[in-house]
Amino acid sequence: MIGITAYGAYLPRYRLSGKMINEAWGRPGGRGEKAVGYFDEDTLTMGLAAVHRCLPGDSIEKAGGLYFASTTSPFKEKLASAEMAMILNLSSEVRTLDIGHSLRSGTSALLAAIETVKAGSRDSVLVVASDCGRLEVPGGLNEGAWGDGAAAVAVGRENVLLNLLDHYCYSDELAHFWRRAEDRYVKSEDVRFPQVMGYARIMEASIGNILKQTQYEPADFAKVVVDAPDMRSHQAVVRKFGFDPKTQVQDPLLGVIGSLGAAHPLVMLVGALHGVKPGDKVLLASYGDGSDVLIFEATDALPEFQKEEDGFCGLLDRKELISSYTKYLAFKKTFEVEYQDYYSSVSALFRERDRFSRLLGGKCGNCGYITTLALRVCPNCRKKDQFENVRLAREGVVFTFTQEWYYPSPEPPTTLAVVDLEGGGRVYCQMTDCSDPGMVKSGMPVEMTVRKYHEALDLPHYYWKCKPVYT
Amino acid sequence: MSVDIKDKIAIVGAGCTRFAENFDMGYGDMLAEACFQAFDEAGVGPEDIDGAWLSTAFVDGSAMKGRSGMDLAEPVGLFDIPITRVSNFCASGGNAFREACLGLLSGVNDVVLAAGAEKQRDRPPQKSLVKMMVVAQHQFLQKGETAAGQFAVYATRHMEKYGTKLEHFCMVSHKNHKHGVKNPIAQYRQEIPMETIVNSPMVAYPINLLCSCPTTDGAAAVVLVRAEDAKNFNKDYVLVKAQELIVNSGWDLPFFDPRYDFSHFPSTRLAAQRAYAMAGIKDPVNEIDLAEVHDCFAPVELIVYEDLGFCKEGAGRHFIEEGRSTAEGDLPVNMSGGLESCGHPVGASGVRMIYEITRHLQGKAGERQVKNAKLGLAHNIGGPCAITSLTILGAP
Repeated sequence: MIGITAYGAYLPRYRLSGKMINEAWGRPGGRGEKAVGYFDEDTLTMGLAAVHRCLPGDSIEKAGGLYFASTTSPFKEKLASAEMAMILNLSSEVRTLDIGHSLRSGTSALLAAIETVKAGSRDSVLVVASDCGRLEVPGGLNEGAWGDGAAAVAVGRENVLLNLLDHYCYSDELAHFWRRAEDRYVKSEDVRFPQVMGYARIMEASIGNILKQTQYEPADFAKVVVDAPDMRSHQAVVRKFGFDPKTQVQDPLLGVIGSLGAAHPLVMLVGALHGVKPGDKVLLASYGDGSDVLIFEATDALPEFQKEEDGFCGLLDRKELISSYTKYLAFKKTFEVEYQDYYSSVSALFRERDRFSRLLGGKCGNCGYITTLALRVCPNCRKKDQFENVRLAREGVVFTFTQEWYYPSPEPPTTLAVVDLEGGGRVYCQMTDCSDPGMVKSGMPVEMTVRKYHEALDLPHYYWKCKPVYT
Repeated sequence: MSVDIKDKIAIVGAGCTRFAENFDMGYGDMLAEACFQAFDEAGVGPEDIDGAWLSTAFVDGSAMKGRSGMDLAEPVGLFDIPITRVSNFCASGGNAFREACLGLLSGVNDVVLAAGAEKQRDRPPQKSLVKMMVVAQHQFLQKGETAAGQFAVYATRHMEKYGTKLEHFCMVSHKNHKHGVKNPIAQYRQEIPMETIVNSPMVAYPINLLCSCPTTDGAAAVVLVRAEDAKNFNKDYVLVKAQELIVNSGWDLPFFDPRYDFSHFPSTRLAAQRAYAMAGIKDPVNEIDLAEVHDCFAPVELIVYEDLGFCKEGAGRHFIEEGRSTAEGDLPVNMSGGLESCGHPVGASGVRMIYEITRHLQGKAGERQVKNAKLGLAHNIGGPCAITSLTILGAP
């Protein structure tokens, strides 16, 4: 049996509301919200966060492949999946692949992963779908439509939760949304044409064809997860096949988190799996120059995983509104800010990646002291070259802190905290996802997360920050 | 420790430029002024100096001046002798002074110069020290921090552990600004109301703007000889009672080392313990007549009261509340106005403190003179806390 063995979704903490957008542009009303990555988040950091919500630390390292799907990779040239694999401390023999350019790249990556395992090339592959910063031009009509988020799905042969029964891929080029290589903002032309001749026609064909091929009836599915560019189009497809919106259909959450681009089908899938029982069938369909449709069956292993997972609903609830529309524009770098010529060195980045990219501690073989710095001599017993890499806990407690009002940031003050990690190791780093400086106290519990610090050398620099534990 | 420094070295000349935004003086101009003041007092010329140490902490503020001993030779006319540049963050000045003492003690040198200079204001403040902290350091470590933040984590911890309040730090700044009014070389010579200090904008919580020293240019210098030769140069000489330099950690390590408590500065504690032993001081608060201590940010001075044994651990707030470190108190601290008023041209500050103590011990400190001063202490902490330089001077 080959299928999904673990899953997790990640949404950033912050939301921008339609009302805030309309107020900024002097328009009345405004509905809904969308998830907005914080200023230090990007497609890669969200993807990593999703992986950590999918698998415990010691299981991540066993993955034989990492397939990364996105339309907003930090790089045009450089393998984001390889950088993620390095940060996640995967083996050098890992299969890495970036799949981009399409809103259905998430499901395409999932199919590629399943086929990789099926072919016997690898026993397990992590699929990460993430989009952050897929933007409408400020003031444009779709500005509230597209949010940021990520999902991660592990594929393998053992302990399968969702067995892939069938799939169907349909390719049909159509100018619905696009960005040329040099474009910052998503473009579209007609509204009705792509809804009618694009989405509706393509989804009817792809879902219709797989039903015909497999002889399933629409009522055979416990959950129907269909990505859609807008709610009206979604409802039309649901009606066309007669899926029951109350019992079968997973809400696309477009007015709640926005459309998350390449991540959306898999984020919706994670949301839908909450109530799925062994034996249930799940239909997953993505859209973008065609469609991928996948049919899964839940196994007896699913309930055990559901017990452990941190609920999707909690993820939706743990949110706060961004403080202003101007902050949103700043987070998304839609205007020029003073350039900081940060020091960095590509050789130092390479040399020190165990400590600073992978957050591996060094434990002294002589005295047991744990360092989080790139040292050779133990500061405690002063023996040389006794440090062995150890995985550090991602949970910790603030020992002391400060808040910097003059460090360049779109959201001052920048909180810096000395954090004692559970089980040993102390780090000193920025605190993120904390727009209320008053909540920071010594003794507060925090968790570690990878964020982008700056772009010295025009290269994104990812390192650990702590963030409050929100419940 | 095989060699005791006590009473073996004498300061026979001291000089100091005004500490200010010296737009009219370059790095070399300032050194010439400070060194020649010291030469004049000692009755020597540059040709009499047979060894020199130059303290400059950061060289990128001014056309890389201060990189080497050459940058003292050229402006001051010191040639054909060994000159060494010393850099040890805020303790650089004290470190240069120490090396000069050791040069004399070893017998290698007979008449030596210790000079410190820092030119920070050829650039806007945010492009000098702040830039170094924000952009020039390691790509990840301590990223997000300014110099204030490095000390602020100590201040936060001190508040949480001992109940110190932000107002106590402001009292330190208030006192030092009050003292600074009487110091003709200080950058700021204005008393600042407590309310203004308390309400000044936050720089790095809990350190606000008026609890932070400004960005400043300055230079200071002293001429030293062995004690037995002192009278031949200047009958108003001052003796070195002790000099300690302690490096107890690194630049990043204190923040990442689980053994650090952040409620005190271990390097200062150790330096004080050793320096007091060397100088024979058993009861510092009663024996020491005045002290210049590092107040780059006001909380540092308050914490250092405890580390220097002026009061018990955690009692720094009482020491300032009770006015014991004011001009009228039993141990006046920072009669110069401290770094808060004088500013902090990093490489010069340590030597400037030694200049200040020297003037008091000579009875030549003018309006700010501490009466009958016989024993004075100069303290710097740097890097941000791993280095302490401690010098104790006494009247003969």
